[in-house]
Amino acid sequence: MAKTKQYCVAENWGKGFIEHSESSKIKFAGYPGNVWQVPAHNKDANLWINKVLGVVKTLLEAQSIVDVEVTSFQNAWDADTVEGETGEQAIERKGERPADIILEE
Amino acid sequence: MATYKEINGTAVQNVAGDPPAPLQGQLWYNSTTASFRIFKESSSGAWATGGTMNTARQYITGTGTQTAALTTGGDPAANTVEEYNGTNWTTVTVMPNSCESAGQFGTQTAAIIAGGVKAPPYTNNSMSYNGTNWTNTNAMNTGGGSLNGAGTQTAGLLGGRNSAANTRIGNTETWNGTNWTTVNPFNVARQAKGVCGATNTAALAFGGFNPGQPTAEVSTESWNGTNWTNVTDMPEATPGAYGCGTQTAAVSIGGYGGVAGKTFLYNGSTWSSLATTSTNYRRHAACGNSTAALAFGGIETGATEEFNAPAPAIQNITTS
Repeated sequence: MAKTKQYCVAENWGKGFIEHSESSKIKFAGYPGNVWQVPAHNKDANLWINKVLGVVKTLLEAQSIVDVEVTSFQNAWDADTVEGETGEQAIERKGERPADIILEE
Repeated sequence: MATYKEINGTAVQNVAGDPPAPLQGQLWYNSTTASFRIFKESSSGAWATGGTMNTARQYITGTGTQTAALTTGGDPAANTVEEYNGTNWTTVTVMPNSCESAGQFGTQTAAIIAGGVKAPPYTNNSMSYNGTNWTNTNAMNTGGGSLNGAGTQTAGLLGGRNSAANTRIGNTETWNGTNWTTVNPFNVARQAKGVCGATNTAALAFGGFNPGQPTAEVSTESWNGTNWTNVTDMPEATPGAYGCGTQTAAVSIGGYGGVAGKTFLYNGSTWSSLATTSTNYRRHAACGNSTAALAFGGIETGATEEFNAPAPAIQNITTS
């Protein structure tokens, strides 16, 4: 099956990184590690990657980058403990444990 | 089959051309072009990135407009305050009291921040901001977190979770510029950041969740200054969504699980989908209105996005 999405790594510099004219044409999804998902085989997506000097990654490469970041979040969450605190109280205090993210082809 | 008049109580107006000042959603027949026409937005709008917050943090507040926004507190740096000018965030005078997940209403230069979580427990602190300095005000009656609000610095409302363990009754308090008054709570128990409104007599509460219940909320409630009344449900449950806008033009942004990145618009009677954000906003904040909104912060991010809806335009209606 032909891939429908492509990935790149690019640092979000803020204003102008994604513009209204771009997001009205293509769907963007940002992930931890400055990983960005945009449509594959799409002229507007390719132009945007070029604009932001994005480094194109394969699905596996992008997934690996996201996994490292999520693991870091999870480790920080696990290390943030209070003696005597129940699991429910922990979630109450610091929110749900960061979930794994599975990128799509 | 029912006719348009039977459904809407009025016939479609026949106009030689287009009406000079159509209302949004107005439908008419243009006898010159022999076509049905409507005045409405042509798309679901679009999001663009804005300036990144100086301190990425979650459980923050948001108030003001897309080009004059205020955010306070959160985790980490719970007394930090930042202002957005439409391009950049600037760190300004810290708050006298630290808090996470507090409630807020007002503008960038005239805001009230109250309640929230402090390490825990919940606090009932209330503070006023004039654009430069903070002043402690009379405290809320009940401490609470996951609050959001409506109104102005002299006439506001906060609703959300209260401090009583395992009740989470959707406590509501109004502010008259001097004191807080406990008023009728939400009909549906929930902790919700999905609260918004221009005044403390016309607000909307939606989505959220009650940790004691197995599913998140889809319900919507409308506030008339005295009571909350159930109105049209949201398209889907929105735990953790953040609200902005008014009672009849409200925006729900982001949330946990399946609604991460999703945005919905309430027009006073029904909900519809707007464009999605590229950031999966959770534990974030938002402000602005249904035509120019701002979303920012959240879990492990200081990313900011700006929403703009297209101006309504006259469009032909096709039947094919």
